[in-house]
Amino acid sequence: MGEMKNSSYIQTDVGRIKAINRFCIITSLMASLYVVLLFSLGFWVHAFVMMVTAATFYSCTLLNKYHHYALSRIAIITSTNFAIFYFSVLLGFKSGVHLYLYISPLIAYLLYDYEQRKKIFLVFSVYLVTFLIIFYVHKYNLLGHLYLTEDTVTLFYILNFAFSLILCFTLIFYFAFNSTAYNKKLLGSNQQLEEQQVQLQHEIHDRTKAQEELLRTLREKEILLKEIHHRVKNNLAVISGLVELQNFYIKDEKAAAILKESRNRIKSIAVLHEKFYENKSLERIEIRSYVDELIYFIKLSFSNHNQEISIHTQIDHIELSLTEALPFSLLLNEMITNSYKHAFKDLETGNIYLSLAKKDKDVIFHFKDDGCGFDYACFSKDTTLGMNLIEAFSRQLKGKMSYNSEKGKGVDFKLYFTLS
Amino acid sequence: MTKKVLIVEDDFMLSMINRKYVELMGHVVVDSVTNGADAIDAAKKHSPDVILMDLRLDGDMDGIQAMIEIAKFSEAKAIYLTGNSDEENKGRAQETNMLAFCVKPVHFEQLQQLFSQL
Repeated sequence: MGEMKNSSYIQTDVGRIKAINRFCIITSLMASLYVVLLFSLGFWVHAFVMMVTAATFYSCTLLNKYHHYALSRIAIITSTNFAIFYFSVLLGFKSGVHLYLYISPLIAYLLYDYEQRKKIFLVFSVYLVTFLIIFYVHKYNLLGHLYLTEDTVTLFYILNFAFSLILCFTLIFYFAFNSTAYNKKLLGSNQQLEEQQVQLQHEIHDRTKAQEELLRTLREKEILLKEIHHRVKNNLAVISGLVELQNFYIKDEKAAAILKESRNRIKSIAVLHEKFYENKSLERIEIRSYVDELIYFIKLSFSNHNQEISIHTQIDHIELSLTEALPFSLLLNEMITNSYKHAFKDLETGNIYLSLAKKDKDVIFHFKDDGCGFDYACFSKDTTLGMNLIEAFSRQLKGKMSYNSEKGKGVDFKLYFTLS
Repeated sequence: MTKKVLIVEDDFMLSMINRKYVELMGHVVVDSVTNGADAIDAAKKHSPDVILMDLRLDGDMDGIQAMIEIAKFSEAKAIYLTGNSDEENKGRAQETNMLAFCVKPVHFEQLQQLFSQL
Protein backbone atom coordinates (compact mmCIF):
# COMPACT_ATOMS: atom_id res chain seq x y z
CA MET A 1 0.00 0.00 0.00
CA GLY A 2 2.86 2.36 0.97
CA GLU A 3 4.68 1.53 -2.28
CA MET A 4 1.55 2.39 -4.29
CA LYS A 5 1.34 5.81 -2.66
CA ASN A 6 5.07 6.45 -3.01
CA SER A 7 5.00 5.60 -6.74
CA SER A 8 3.34 8.96 -7.50
CA TYR A 9 6.38 10.91 -6.24
CA ILE A 10 9.39 11.78 -8.40
CA GLN A 11 11.64 11.00 -5.42
CA THR A 12 11.01 7.31 -6.04
CA ASP A 13 12.26 5.39 -9.11
CA VAL A 14 8.76 4.37 -10.17
CA GLY A 15 7.45 7.94 -9.76
CA ARG A 16 10.32 9.35 -11.81
CA ILE A 17 9.69 6.94 -14.69
CA LYS A 18 6.01 7.94 -14.66
CA ALA A 19 6.98 11.62 -14.83
CA ILE A 20 9.41 10.95 -17.72
CA ASN A 21 6.65 9.10 -19.61
CA ARG A 22 4.27 12.03 -19.16
CA PHE A 23 6.97 14.41 -20.40
CA CYS A 24 7.56 12.19 -23.47
CA ILE A 25 3.85 12.14 -24.33
CA ILE A 26 3.55 15.96 -24.02
CA THR A 27 6.65 16.52 -26.18
CA SER A 28 5.49 14.00 -28.82
CA LEU A 29 2.11 15.82 -28.98
CA MET A 30 3.87 19.16 -29.37
CA ALA A 31 6.10 17.67 -32.08
CA SER A 32 2.96 16.40 -33.85
CA LEU A 33 1.68 19.98 -34.07
CA TYR A 34 4.97 20.98 -35.73
CA VAL A 35 4.56 18.08 -38.16
CA VAL A 36 1.15 19.46 -39.22
CA LEU A 37 2.55 22.98 -39.54
CA LEU A 38 5.57 21.87 -41.61
CA PHE A 39 3.26 19.82 -43.88
CA SER A 40 0.99 22.78 -44.39
CA LEU A 41 3.99 24.90 -45.35
CA GLY A 42 5.01 22.24 -47.84
CA PHE A 43 8.25 21.16 -46.11
CA TRP A 44 7.62 17.40 -46.59
CA VAL A 45 11.10 16.19 -45.70
CA HIS A 46 11.38 18.34 -42.57
CA ALA A 47 7.89 17.32 -41.55
CA PHE A 48 9.03 13.72 -41.82
CA VAL A 49 12.11 14.44 -39.62
CA MET A 50 9.80 16.00 -37.04
CA MET A 51 7.55 12.97 -37.26
CA VAL A 52 10.53 10.71 -36.51
CA THR A 53 11.37 12.96 -33.54
CA ALA A 54 7.80 12.71 -32.23
CA ALA A 55 7.92 8.94 -32.67
CA THR A 56 11.24 8.79 -30.78
CA PHE A 57 9.70 10.67 -27.85
CA TYR A 58 6.80 8.25 -27.77
CA SER A 59 9.05 5.21 -28.11
CA CYS A 60 10.81 6.31 -24.90
CA THR A 61 7.63 5.42 -22.99
CA LEU A 62 7.82 1.92 -24.55
CA LEU A 63 11.49 1.61 -23.58
CA ASN A 64 10.52 2.49 -20.01
CA LYS A 65 7.73 -0.04 -20.11
CA TYR A 66 10.30 -2.75 -20.88
CA HIS A 67 12.69 -1.40 -18.20
CA HIS A 68 15.31 0.03 -20.59
CA TYR A 69 15.50 3.15 -18.46
CA ALA A 70 19.07 4.18 -19.37
CA LEU A 71 18.38 3.80 -23.11
CA SER A 72 15.18 5.80 -22.78
CA ARG A 73 17.04 8.65 -21.07
CA ILE A 74 19.76 8.67 -23.75
CA ALA A 75 17.03 8.72 -26.44
CA ILE A 76 15.35 11.75 -24.82
CA ILE A 77 18.63 13.67 -24.52
CA THR A 78 19.69 12.82 -28.09
CA SER A 79 16.33 13.54 -29.74
CA THR A 80 15.78 16.87 -27.92
CA ASN A 81 19.30 18.07 -28.80
CA PHE A 82 19.01 16.88 -32.37
CA ALA A 83 15.52 18.40 -32.94
CA ILE A 84 16.52 21.74 -31.43
CA PHE A 85 19.76 21.86 -33.45
CA TYR A 86 18.16 20.70 -36.70
CA PHE A 87 15.15 23.01 -36.64
CA SER A 88 17.06 25.94 -35.21
CA VAL A 89 19.50 25.76 -38.11
CA LEU A 90 16.67 25.06 -40.60
CA LEU A 91 14.25 27.75 -39.48
CA GLY A 92 16.81 30.34 -38.42
CA PHE A 93 17.79 31.82 -35.04
CA LYS A 94 14.85 34.21 -35.09
CA SER A 95 12.37 31.32 -35.12
CA GLY A 96 13.19 30.89 -31.42
CA VAL A 97 13.69 27.07 -31.53
CA HIS A 98 16.70 27.53 -29.25
CA LEU A 99 14.29 28.76 -26.53
CA TYR A 100 13.63 25.11 -25.74
CA LEU A 101 17.21 24.90 -24.48
CA TYR A 102 16.30 27.10 -21.51
CA ILE A 103 14.29 24.28 -20.05
CA SER A 104 17.32 21.93 -20.24
CA PRO A 105 18.11 22.16 -16.45
CA LEU A 106 14.53 21.08 -15.74
CA ILE A 107 14.84 18.16 -18.19
CA ALA A 108 18.12 17.13 -16.54
CA TYR A 109 16.47 17.26 -13.11
CA LEU A 110 13.50 15.28 -14.48
CA LEU A 111 15.75 12.54 -15.85
CA TYR A 112 18.07 12.17 -12.86
CA ASP A 113 17.83 12.47 -9.11
CA TYR A 114 19.45 15.44 -7.41
CA GLU A 115 21.94 13.03 -5.81
CA GLN A 116 23.19 12.01 -9.31
CA ARG A 117 24.95 15.36 -9.75
CA LYS A 118 27.54 14.14 -12.24
CA LYS A 119 24.87 12.92 -14.65
CA ILE A 120 22.84 16.13 -14.29
CA PHE A 121 25.96 18.18 -14.99
CA LEU A 122 26.75 16.03 -18.05
CA VAL A 123 23.23 16.39 -19.51
CA PHE A 124 23.25 20.13 -18.85
CA SER A 125 26.66 20.40 -20.58
CA VAL A 126 25.34 18.60 -23.67
CA TYR A 127 22.49 21.13 -23.96
CA LEU A 128 24.94 24.00 -23.43
CA VAL A 129 27.23 22.70 -26.16
CA THR A 130 24.24 22.41 -28.52
CA PHE A 131 23.29 26.00 -27.74
CA LEU A 132 26.86 27.23 -28.42
CA ILE A 133 27.02 25.33 -31.73
CA ILE A 134 23.66 26.82 -32.80
CA PHE A 135 24.89 30.27 -31.79
CA TYR A 136 28.16 29.97 -33.79
CA VAL A 137 26.43 28.45 -36.81
CA HIS A 138 24.10 31.46 -36.98
CA LYS A 139 26.75 34.06 -36.14
CA TYR A 140 29.16 32.92 -38.84
CA ASN A 141 26.37 31.74 -41.15
CA LEU A 142 28.03 28.34 -41.48
CA LEU A 143 24.91 26.54 -42.73
CA GLY A 144 22.19 28.00 -44.89
CA HIS A 145 18.55 28.03 -43.74
CA LEU A 146 15.14 27.96 -45.37
CA TYR A 147 13.76 31.11 -46.81
CA LEU A 148 10.70 32.00 -44.76
CA THR A 149 8.47 35.04 -44.80
CA GLU A 150 8.63 37.31 -41.77
CA ASP A 151 5.07 36.28 -40.78
CA THR A 152 6.05 32.59 -40.81
CA VAL A 153 9.14 33.30 -38.70
CA THR A 154 6.98 35.27 -36.27
CA LEU A 155 4.47 32.41 -36.16
CA PHE A 156 7.25 29.94 -35.37
CA TYR A 157 8.68 32.29 -32.74
CA ILE A 158 5.29 32.68 -31.04
CA LEU A 159 4.72 28.93 -31.12
CA ASN A 160 8.20 28.11 -29.83
CA PHE A 161 8.03 30.79 -27.15
CA ALA A 162 4.58 29.65 -26.02
CA PHE A 163 5.39 25.91 -26.07
CA SER A 164 8.74 26.28 -24.34
CA LEU A 165 7.07 28.50 -21.70
CA ILE A 166 4.23 25.98 -21.25
CA LEU A 167 6.74 23.14 -20.95
CA CYS A 168 8.84 25.16 -18.52
CA PHE A 169 5.89 26.09 -16.29
CA THR A 170 4.47 22.57 -16.48
CA LEU A 171 7.76 21.13 -15.25
CA ILE A 172 8.23 23.84 -12.56
CA PHE A 173 4.69 23.38 -11.22
CA TYR A 174 5.02 19.63 -11.39
CA PHE A 175 8.22 19.72 -9.33
CA ALA A 176 6.74 22.25 -6.88
CA PHE A 177 3.50 20.33 -6.32
CA ASN A 178 5.38 17.06 -6.14
CA SER A 179 7.81 18.41 -3.50
CA THR A 180 4.98 19.91 -1.42
CA ALA A 181 2.99 16.67 -1.51
CA TYR A 182 6.08 14.62 -0.74
CA ASN A 183 7.03 16.90 2.17
CA LYS A 184 3.50 16.57 3.53
CA LYS A 185 3.77 12.84 3.30
CA LEU A 186 7.17 12.92 5.04
CA LEU A 187 5.74 15.12 7.79
CA GLY A 188 2.89 12.64 8.24
CA SER A 189 5.37 9.77 8.40
CA ASN A 190 7.52 11.72 10.86
CA GLN A 191 4.51 12.31 13.06
CA GLN A 192 3.70 8.61 12.93
CA LEU A 193 7.29 7.75 13.78
CA GLU A 194 7.27 10.21 16.69
CA GLU A 195 4.10 8.59 18.01
CA GLN A 196 5.67 5.16 17.63
CA GLN A 197 8.81 6.42 19.38
CA VAL A 198 6.75 7.67 22.34
CA GLN A 199 4.95 4.32 22.43
CA LEU A 200 8.27 2.46 22.31
CA GLN A 201 9.68 4.64 25.09
CA HIS A 202 6.67 3.72 27.21
CA GLU A 203 7.23 0.05 26.41
CA ILE A 204 10.94 0.32 27.27
CA HIS A 205 10.05 2.03 30.53
CA ASP A 206 7.54 -0.69 31.38
CA ARG A 207 9.98 -3.44 30.49
CA THR A 208 12.78 -1.83 32.50
CA LYS A 209 10.45 -1.65 35.48
CA ALA A 210 9.45 -5.31 35.02
CA GLN A 211 13.12 -6.26 34.70
CA GLU A 212 13.99 -4.38 37.89
CA GLU A 213 11.13 -6.14 39.65
CA LEU A 214 12.41 -9.50 38.39
CA LEU A 215 15.94 -8.70 39.56
CA ARG A 216 14.61 -7.70 42.96
CA THR A 217 12.67 -10.97 43.20
CA LEU A 218 15.76 -12.86 42.09
CA ARG A 219 17.88 -11.18 44.76
CA GLU A 220 15.24 -12.03 47.37
CA LYS A 221 15.28 -15.63 46.21
CA GLU A 222 19.06 -15.73 46.39
CA ILE A 223 18.96 -14.44 49.95
CA LEU A 224 16.26 -16.97 50.78
CA LEU A 225 18.29 -19.75 49.19
CA LYS A 226 21.34 -18.76 51.21
CA GLU A 227 19.28 -18.77 54.36
CA ILE A 228 17.89 -22.24 53.56
CA HIS A 229 21.39 -23.44 52.75
CA HIS A 230 22.63 -22.11 56.09
CA ARG A 231 19.78 -23.88 57.91
CA VAL A 232 20.34 -27.18 56.08
CA LYS A 233 24.06 -27.06 56.78
CA ASN A 234 23.47 -26.31 60.45
CA ASN A 235 20.86 -29.07 60.71
CA LEU A 236 23.23 -31.60 59.11
CA ALA A 237 25.96 -30.41 61.47
CA VAL A 238 23.62 -30.82 64.46
CA ILE A 239 22.58 -34.36 63.39
CA SER A 240 26.19 -35.32 62.71
CA GLY A 241 27.32 -33.77 66.04
CA LEU A 242 24.60 -35.51 68.05
CA VAL A 243 25.42 -38.88 66.47
CA GLU A 244 29.09 -38.33 67.22
CA LEU A 245 28.44 -37.26 70.80
CA GLN A 246 26.22 -40.26 71.32
CA ASN A 247 29.20 -42.36 70.28
CA PHE A 248 31.16 -41.22 73.33
CA TYR A 249 28.55 -42.72 75.64
CA ILE A 250 28.37 -46.11 73.90
CA LYS A 251 30.53 -48.87 75.32
CA ASP A 252 29.61 -51.47 72.69
CA GLU A 253 32.19 -51.30 69.90
CA LYS A 254 29.84 -52.67 67.26
CA ALA A 255 27.19 -50.06 68.01
CA ALA A 256 29.86 -47.34 68.06
CA ALA A 257 31.09 -48.44 64.61
CA ILE A 258 27.54 -48.31 63.24
CA LEU A 259 27.09 -44.76 64.58
CA LYS A 260 30.42 -43.77 63.04
CA GLU A 261 29.29 -45.10 59.66
CA SER A 262 26.04 -43.15 59.92
CA ARG A 263 27.96 -40.01 60.78
CA ASN A 264 30.22 -40.51 57.74
CA ARG A 265 27.15 -40.89 55.51
CA ILE A 266 25.78 -37.61 56.86
CA LYS A 267 29.16 -35.99 56.27
CA SER A 268 29.29 -37.19 52.66
CA ILE A 269 25.87 -35.59 52.04
CA ALA A 270 26.91 -32.41 53.84
CA VAL A 271 30.10 -32.04 51.78
CA LEU A 272 28.14 -32.69 48.60
CA HIS A 273 25.61 -30.05 49.60
CA GLU A 274 28.43 -27.64 50.27
CA LYS A 275 30.01 -28.33 46.88
CA PHE A 276 26.74 -27.65 45.10
CA TYR A 277 26.26 -24.42 46.98
CA GLU A 278 29.85 -23.37 46.33
CA ASN A 279 29.32 -24.04 42.64
CA LYS A 280 26.49 -21.49 42.55
CA SER A 281 24.86 -23.04 39.46
CA LEU A 282 23.13 -25.61 41.75
CA GLU A 283 22.84 -27.90 38.75
CA ARG A 284 26.15 -29.73 38.40
CA ILE A 285 29.37 -30.18 40.37
CA GLU A 286 32.85 -31.12 39.33
CA ILE A 287 33.34 -34.46 41.07
CA ARG A 288 37.16 -34.50 41.47
CA SER A 289 37.42 -31.90 44.26
CA TYR A 290 34.46 -33.53 46.00
CA VAL A 291 36.11 -36.99 45.95
CA ASP A 292 39.36 -35.53 47.32
CA GLU A 293 37.50 -33.86 50.18
CA LEU A 294 35.46 -36.97 50.97
CA ILE A 295 38.60 -39.13 51.04
CA TYR A 296 40.21 -36.68 53.46
CA PHE A 297 37.27 -36.93 55.88
CA ILE A 298 36.99 -40.72 55.69
CA LYS A 299 40.74 -41.05 56.31
CA LEU A 300 40.38 -38.70 59.25
CA SER A 301 37.52 -40.71 60.75
CA PHE A 302 39.66 -43.88 60.65
CA SER A 303 42.83 -42.12 61.85
CA ASN A 304 42.67 -43.89 65.23
CA HIS A 305 43.15 -47.30 63.53
CA ASN A 306 46.91 -46.62 63.20
CA GLN A 307 46.98 -47.99 59.65
CA GLU A 308 48.85 -46.61 56.66
CA ILE A 309 46.26 -46.80 53.89
CA SER A 310 47.14 -45.05 50.62
CA ILE A 311 44.34 -44.01 48.34
CA HIS A 312 45.42 -43.55 44.72
CA THR A 313 43.00 -41.59 42.56
CA GLN A 314 42.75 -40.98 38.85
CA ILE A 315 39.68 -38.90 38.10
CA ASP A 316 38.71 -37.22 34.84
CA HIS A 317 36.98 -33.86 34.74
CA ILE A 318 33.38 -35.00 35.19
CA GLU A 319 30.36 -32.94 36.14
CA LEU A 320 27.49 -34.71 37.88
CA SER A 321 23.97 -33.51 38.51
CA LEU A 322 22.52 -33.63 42.03
CA THR A 323 20.52 -36.79 41.22
CA GLU A 324 23.74 -38.51 40.10
CA ALA A 325 26.12 -37.00 42.64
CA LEU A 326 24.15 -38.03 45.74
CA PRO A 327 24.04 -41.81 45.08
CA PHE A 328 27.59 -41.71 43.74
CA SER A 329 28.94 -39.97 46.86
CA LEU A 330 27.18 -42.42 49.18
CA LEU A 331 28.38 -45.36 47.06
CA LEU A 332 31.95 -44.10 47.21
CA ASN A 333 31.64 -43.59 50.96
CA GLU A 334 30.43 -47.21 51.36
CA MET A 335 33.22 -48.60 49.20
CA ILE A 336 36.04 -46.81 51.04
CA THR A 337 34.47 -47.47 54.46
CA ASN A 338 34.12 -51.19 53.62
CA SER A 339 37.79 -51.35 52.67
CA TYR A 340 38.82 -49.68 55.94
CA LYS A 341 36.42 -51.82 57.99
CA HIS A 342 36.91 -55.23 56.39
CA ALA A 343 39.65 -55.38 53.78
CA PHE A 344 42.41 -53.87 55.93
CA LYS A 345 40.99 -54.99 59.26
CA ASP A 346 44.09 -56.93 60.34
CA LEU A 347 46.59 -55.17 58.09
CA GLU A 348 48.89 -52.25 58.87
CA THR A 349 49.24 -51.02 55.30
CA GLY A 350 47.12 -51.14 52.19
CA ASN A 351 46.26 -49.51 48.91
CA ILE A 352 43.02 -48.36 47.39
CA TYR A 353 42.94 -47.59 43.66
CA LEU A 354 40.12 -45.41 42.53
CA SER A 355 39.49 -44.19 39.01
CA LEU A 356 36.67 -42.37 37.31
CA ALA A 357 36.91 -42.12 33.52
CA LYS A 358 34.57 -40.48 31.05
CA LYS A 359 34.00 -41.16 27.38
CA ASP A 360 31.32 -38.95 25.84
CA LYS A 361 28.44 -39.44 28.26
CA ASP A 362 29.55 -42.82 29.60
CA VAL A 363 31.35 -43.00 32.93
CA ILE A 364 33.39 -45.92 34.27
CA PHE A 365 34.02 -46.02 38.00
CA HIS A 366 36.68 -48.51 39.02
CA PHE A 367 37.44 -49.30 42.65
CA LYS A 368 40.10 -51.76 43.73
CA ASP A 369 41.86 -52.57 46.99
CA ASP A 370 44.67 -54.97 47.89
CA GLY A 371 43.06 -56.03 51.17
CA CYS A 372 42.23 -59.50 52.40
CA GLY A 373 39.20 -59.91 50.11
CA PHE A 374 36.32 -62.31 50.68
CA ASP A 375 34.50 -65.07 48.92
CA TYR A 376 31.86 -63.03 47.11
CA ALA A 377 30.09 -66.15 45.77
CA CYS A 378 29.34 -67.34 49.33
CA PHE A 379 28.55 -63.86 50.67
CA SER A 380 25.09 -63.19 52.08
CA LYS A 381 23.84 -59.65 51.49
CA ASP A 382 21.37 -59.94 54.33
CA THR A 383 24.15 -59.62 56.88
CA THR A 384 25.40 -56.18 55.89
CA LEU A 385 23.79 -52.84 55.06
CA GLY A 386 26.87 -51.57 53.17
CA MET A 387 26.63 -54.10 50.31
CA ASN A 388 22.89 -53.53 49.99
CA LEU A 389 23.50 -49.80 49.74
CA ILE A 390 26.18 -50.27 47.06
CA GLU A 391 23.72 -52.25 44.94
CA ALA A 392 20.90 -49.77 45.59
CA PHE A 393 23.03 -46.73 44.65
CA SER A 394 24.26 -48.53 41.49
CA ARG A 395 20.65 -49.13 40.51
CA GLN A 396 19.80 -45.48 41.27
CA LEU A 397 22.56 -44.43 38.86
CA LYS A 398 21.00 -46.80 36.29
CA GLY A 399 24.44 -48.36 36.07
CA LYS A 400 25.79 -51.81 35.39
CA MET A 401 28.00 -53.07 38.22
CA SER A 402 30.44 -55.91 38.58
CA TYR A 403 31.78 -56.93 41.98
CA ASN A 404 34.62 -59.41 42.21
CA SER A 405 36.39 -60.58 45.30
CA GLU A 406 38.22 -63.66 46.40
CA LYS A 407 39.97 -64.43 49.62
CA GLY A 408 43.46 -62.91 49.61
CA LYS A 409 42.91 -61.06 46.32
CA GLY A 410 41.18 -57.89 47.45
CA VAL A 411 38.09 -56.32 45.93
CA ASP A 412 37.56 -55.26 42.33
CA PHE A 413 34.42 -53.21 41.69
CA LYS A 414 33.34 -51.62 38.43
CA LEU A 415 30.32 -49.49 37.68
CA TYR A 416 29.30 -48.26 34.24
CA PHE A 417 26.72 -45.50 34.07
CA THR A 418 25.58 -42.81 31.66
CA LEU A 419 25.40 -39.10 32.50
CA SER A 420 22.05 -37.36 32.18
CA MET B 1 48.31 -28.63 77.66
CA THR B 2 44.83 -27.31 78.42
CA LYS B 3 43.67 -24.50 76.14
CA LYS B 4 41.13 -21.77 76.80
CA VAL B 5 38.47 -21.85 74.08
CA LEU B 6 35.87 -19.25 73.14
CA ILE B 7 32.90 -20.48 71.10
CA VAL B 8 31.16 -18.01 68.78
CA GLU B 9 28.13 -19.70 67.18
CA ASP B 10 24.60 -18.41 66.57
CA ASP B 11 23.03 -21.89 66.54
CA PHE B 12 22.38 -23.12 70.09
CA MET B 13 22.64 -26.85 69.29
CA LEU B 14 25.90 -26.51 67.38
CA SER B 15 27.31 -24.35 70.15
CA MET B 16 26.46 -27.09 72.65
CA ILE B 17 27.97 -29.84 70.47
CA ASN B 18 31.18 -27.85 69.98
CA ARG B 19 31.37 -27.26 73.74
CA LYS B 20 31.12 -31.04 74.30
CA TYR B 21 33.84 -31.72 71.71
CA VAL B 22 36.17 -29.22 73.39
CA GLU B 23 35.49 -30.65 76.83
CA LEU B 24 36.00 -34.22 75.58
CA MET B 25 39.41 -33.15 74.28
CA GLY B 26 40.23 -31.91 77.77
CA HIS B 27 40.20 -28.18 77.06
CA VAL B 28 38.16 -25.43 78.77
CA VAL B 29 35.34 -23.44 77.19
CA VAL B 30 35.62 -19.94 78.69
CA ASP B 31 32.44 -18.60 77.07
CA SER B 32 29.83 -19.20 74.33
CA VAL B 33 28.44 -16.16 72.50
CA THR B 34 26.24 -15.67 69.44
CA ASN B 35 27.41 -12.37 67.87
CA GLY B 36 30.54 -10.44 66.94
CA ALA B 37 30.24 -7.67 69.54
CA ASP B 38 29.85 -10.20 72.38
CA ALA B 39 32.79 -12.19 70.96
CA ILE B 40 35.04 -9.10 71.18
CA ASP B 41 33.93 -8.47 74.80
CA ALA B 42 34.43 -12.14 75.73
CA ALA B 43 37.88 -12.20 74.11
CA LYS B 44 38.87 -9.09 76.12
CA LYS B 45 37.54 -10.62 79.31
CA HIS B 46 38.87 -14.22 79.01
CA SER B 47 41.94 -13.94 76.73
CA PRO B 48 41.23 -17.29 74.98
CA ASP B 49 43.91 -19.32 73.15
CA VAL B 50 41.51 -20.57 70.47
CA ILE B 51 38.26 -19.20 69.10
CA LEU B 52 35.79 -21.54 67.36
CA MET B 53 34.26 -18.93 65.11
CA ASP B 54 31.13 -19.35 63.01
CA LEU B 55 31.30 -17.22 59.86
CA ARG B 56 27.67 -16.13 59.86
CA LEU B 57 26.63 -14.52 63.09
CA ASP B 58 23.73 -12.60 64.59
CA GLY B 59 24.08 -8.81 64.22
CA ASP B 60 25.97 -6.65 61.73
CA MET B 61 29.37 -8.27 62.09
CA ASP B 62 30.42 -11.59 60.54
CA GLY B 63 33.02 -13.93 62.08
CA ILE B 64 35.93 -12.56 60.04
CA GLN B 65 35.15 -8.94 60.95
CA ALA B 66 34.94 -9.95 64.63
CA MET B 67 38.34 -11.70 64.36
CA ILE B 68 39.91 -8.60 62.80
CA GLU B 69 38.77 -6.59 65.84
CA ILE B 70 39.93 -9.27 68.30
CA ALA B 71 43.36 -9.45 66.60
CA LYS B 72 43.94 -5.82 67.68
CA PHE B 73 44.38 -6.91 71.31
CA SER B 74 44.63 -10.74 71.30
CA GLU B 75 46.79 -13.44 69.76
CA ALA B 76 44.00 -16.03 69.87
CA LYS B 77 43.88 -18.33 66.85
CA ALA B 78 40.63 -18.79 64.96
CA ILE B 79 39.14 -22.03 63.72
CA TYR B 80 36.43 -20.90 61.32
CA LEU B 81 33.40 -23.14 61.11
CA THR B 82 31.22 -22.38 58.15
CA GLY B 83 28.50 -23.66 55.90
CA ASN B 84 29.80 -21.47 53.09
CA SER B 85 33.39 -22.08 52.05
CA ASP B 86 33.54 -19.82 49.02
CA GLU B 87 36.90 -18.50 47.87
CA GLU B 88 36.16 -14.90 48.80
CA ASN B 89 35.54 -15.78 52.43
CA LYS B 90 38.56 -18.09 52.48
CA GLY B 91 40.71 -15.23 51.20
CA ARG B 92 39.37 -12.82 53.79
CA ALA B 93 39.82 -15.37 56.57
CA GLN B 94 43.47 -15.94 55.63
CA GLU B 95 44.17 -12.28 56.40
CA THR B 96 43.34 -12.96 60.05
CA ASN B 97 45.07 -15.06 62.72
CA MET B 98 43.58 -18.28 61.33
CA LEU B 99 44.35 -21.87 62.25
CA ALA B 100 41.82 -23.55 59.94
CA PHE B 101 38.79 -22.96 57.76
CA CYS B 102 36.37 -25.89 58.24
CA VAL B 103 33.14 -26.76 56.50
CA LYS B 104 30.30 -27.85 58.75
CA PRO B 105 29.61 -30.47 60.01
CA VAL B 106 32.96 -30.59 61.81
CA HIS B 107 33.98 -33.96 63.23
CA PHE B 108 35.54 -34.62 66.57
CA GLU B 109 38.67 -36.12 64.94
CA GLN B 110 39.02 -33.04 62.77
CA LEU B 111 38.98 -30.72 65.80
CA GLN B 112 41.28 -33.05 67.68
CA GLN B 113 43.80 -32.92 64.85
CA LEU B 114 43.61 -29.11 64.70
CA PHE B 115 44.08 -28.69 68.46
CA SER B 116 47.08 -31.02 68.33
CA GLN B 117 48.80 -28.45 66.06
CA LEU B 118 48.68 -25.80 68.82
